[in-house]
Amino acid sequence: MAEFGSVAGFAQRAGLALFASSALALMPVPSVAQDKPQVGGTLRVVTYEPLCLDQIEGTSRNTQTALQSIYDRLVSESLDGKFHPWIADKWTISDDQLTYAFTIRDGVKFHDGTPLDAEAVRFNLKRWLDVKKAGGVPIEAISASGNIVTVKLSRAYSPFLHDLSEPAQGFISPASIQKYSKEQRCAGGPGITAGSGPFKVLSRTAGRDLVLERNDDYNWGPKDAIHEGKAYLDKVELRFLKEDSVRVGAVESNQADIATGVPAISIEDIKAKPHLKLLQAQQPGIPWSFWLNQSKAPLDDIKIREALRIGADYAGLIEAVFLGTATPAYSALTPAVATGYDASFEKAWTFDVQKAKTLLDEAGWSKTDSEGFRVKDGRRLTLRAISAAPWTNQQRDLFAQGLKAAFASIGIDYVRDVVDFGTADTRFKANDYNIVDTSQAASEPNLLYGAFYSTETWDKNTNWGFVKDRDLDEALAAGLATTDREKRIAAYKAAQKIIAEKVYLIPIANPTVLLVVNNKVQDVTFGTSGQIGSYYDVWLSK
Amino acid sequence: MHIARELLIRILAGAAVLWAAASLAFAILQLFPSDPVQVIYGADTSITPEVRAAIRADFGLDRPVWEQYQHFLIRIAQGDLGISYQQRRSVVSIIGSELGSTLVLASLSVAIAVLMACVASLLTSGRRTWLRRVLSSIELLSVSTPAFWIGILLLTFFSFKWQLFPVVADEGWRSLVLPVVTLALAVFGSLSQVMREEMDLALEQPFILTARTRGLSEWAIRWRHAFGHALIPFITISTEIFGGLLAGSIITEQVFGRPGLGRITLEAITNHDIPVVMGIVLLVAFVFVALNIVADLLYRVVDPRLRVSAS
Repeated sequence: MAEFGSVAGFAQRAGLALFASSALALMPVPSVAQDKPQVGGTLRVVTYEPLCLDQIEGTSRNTQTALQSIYDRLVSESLDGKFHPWIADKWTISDDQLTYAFTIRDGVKFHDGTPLDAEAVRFNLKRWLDVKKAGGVPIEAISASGNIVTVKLSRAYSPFLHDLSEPAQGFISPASIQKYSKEQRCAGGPGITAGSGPFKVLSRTAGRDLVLERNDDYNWGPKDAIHEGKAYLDKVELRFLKEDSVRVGAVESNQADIATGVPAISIEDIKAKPHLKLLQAQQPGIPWSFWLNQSKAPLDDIKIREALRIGADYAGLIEAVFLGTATPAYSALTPAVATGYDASFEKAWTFDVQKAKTLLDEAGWSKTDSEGFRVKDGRRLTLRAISAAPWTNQQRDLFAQGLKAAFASIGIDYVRDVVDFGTADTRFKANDYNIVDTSQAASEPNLLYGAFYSTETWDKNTNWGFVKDRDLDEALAAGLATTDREKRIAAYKAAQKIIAEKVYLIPIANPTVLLVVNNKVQDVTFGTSGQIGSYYDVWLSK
Repeated sequence: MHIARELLIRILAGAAVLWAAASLAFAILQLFPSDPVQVIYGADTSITPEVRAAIRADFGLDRPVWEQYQHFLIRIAQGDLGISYQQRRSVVSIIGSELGSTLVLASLSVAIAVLMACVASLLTSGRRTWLRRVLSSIELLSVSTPAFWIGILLLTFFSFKWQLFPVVADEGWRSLVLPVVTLALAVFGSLSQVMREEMDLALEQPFILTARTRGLSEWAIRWRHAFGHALIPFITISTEIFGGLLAGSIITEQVFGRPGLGRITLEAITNHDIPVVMGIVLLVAFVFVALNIVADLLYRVVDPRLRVSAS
């Protein structure tokens, strides 16, 4: 399941300029030298609102992020791309990659007191398959016997464990699903919203807040968590404020302890406040990039694509516009994708106006019209770019303006339309664009399959470029066919190499996620999609 | 008899307006280039074609347009506004649960705005004093400043800087102060301007001169004679005030993170949650129609001249 663009919750992808290129070095965020985690206290978070507390019914990143501490998953993925036991004690994958057998942990209970056993896991997976067709995972059969849940796939699908580890796959008590209507489950509330996580719902006021309290029975945290047993915090109050500036102001004035979705323009202001700290994580996935439509002229010509890549000073523009909150991107994956990111492309191409002009001349666009734009056979070299409103932000818009000027100076007429999602959808279907600019978030390198495999065009996925490359298809299929980590890394490195060499994508900036946190808040973690992690390990120093 | 017949005609006309509003909204949303399936599934996630087809069938989107329209009208007539694409709740229950919060906010704001406008016009009409200049400037500022900006300014000073009123915690009336003031200011400006204008006009009428010659005090003249005239335009622009409240509550609820109709309106529009948008269009049309009928009846109460000519 590929998540693309940005939801409201991740519209602001900003971060600090300085971070290590490895995600590992960033997270978990080191706490201030404090000897022992303290138990107790209420954490006040200002963030985005989940739409529906039953994740299968209505899902969005905001919903999933808000509910992570309520629902447990089968396995946990750490930021280095490895999987750890959680509700599944252990698991086996058959040699043909088609059969997954999970051994379910003993003694796990939902908040309503019913057991989270193999049957409950089977019920949840079946529901995911029935309601959401398992997000495209080729599940053939699910069965439970004793404490073993067996899932049979119809073909090899290596991201399966990753998909199971995503917040959307949190388990809900089957009893609550039978007992309450869809409408009641979406509204949620104590007793109705029954997960098995370290926190349970105390109250919900739609449009205002969601208050969680500690689940004192909790003793089944993921193996890669910082601690074991129950959570430290007594309560977590999630208060929903939509305005970026209001969220930041709430933390600055000590009315809240954590704000998510911090805009880049607030950074200087926050740095001046001694009681606050900024936490940032590089977002795993596909960087903010240009998908180049090669199904038609002029971008079917690699010379033009190459000229686009070297004809503007991307690195300089990023520094100027992103307020030092993003790094220039060179690969089709961001550095935070532990399984497969290839650092060898960093600075593989550099800004070279002369060469770009020569390439454009060679491609036959040597004449210019009265306004200075290049023409060929009476047609101007115009490139129409589309971005949907939720995929862009202030920095990206500014960047595009700078780019327009840079492109104009080499004779390219670059026009960027930011449209609502419906209009974007219509224009994608009509193949009425040359460039699509967005980013995609997931720690799973198989994102590249959806974005570049020849059959994955917009009717079912995000191959906006209409890329049809047999070698690339082969590499992406190889990555999909095996769960062997080394083999997968090799496959995705091969894929990144082809994408870079053929200029199927122009990666621009590696987005980061930024949180502002009061100094007393310790051990905040980030999840594998760059979102704030569960509040399980978080504690407050006195 | 006469009034009853007129009322009946008005109610029938109102029903026709509602039908037209519903149909127009339906037509516009049909032309809207949005794929509801994407909205239903989650706009940030790619969907397989099988899931698309399943959702279409589920929500009846695979039917021909006229059939959807027919179905839509029948449902409305039965008071069923459909199910939200995003929240999976019935639109009636969503509106029902959000209405209260907005009503509290709106009624308090209107009360304060009306009070302020009455005081301002009583104090300053017909005079060219410094007070009038000050109040006029405030009115002008209130009319020309976006409520969004007023809200952020109030928050910056009264919540972030001086910490008088919380925006995060729920502390009863203290949490209400800033949103109410924001919305009241948005309504106050135009209301006060219109009322004073009307009082200015009334104060120049011959009957005021008569009253003055009878030796009535200035205050009595304003309160007993001129003020009544100012109430007529107040009723006339009440639908405008209602429009202002609706727009204002969208912004106020967004800035202050309050539940309410404004919030769900904005959310429904940005997320293309069509059933909710339709529900709100109908609700707003209904209130407009009802307000107009009530306003016409109120004219008779406030203005004796109309009562005479009607009977």
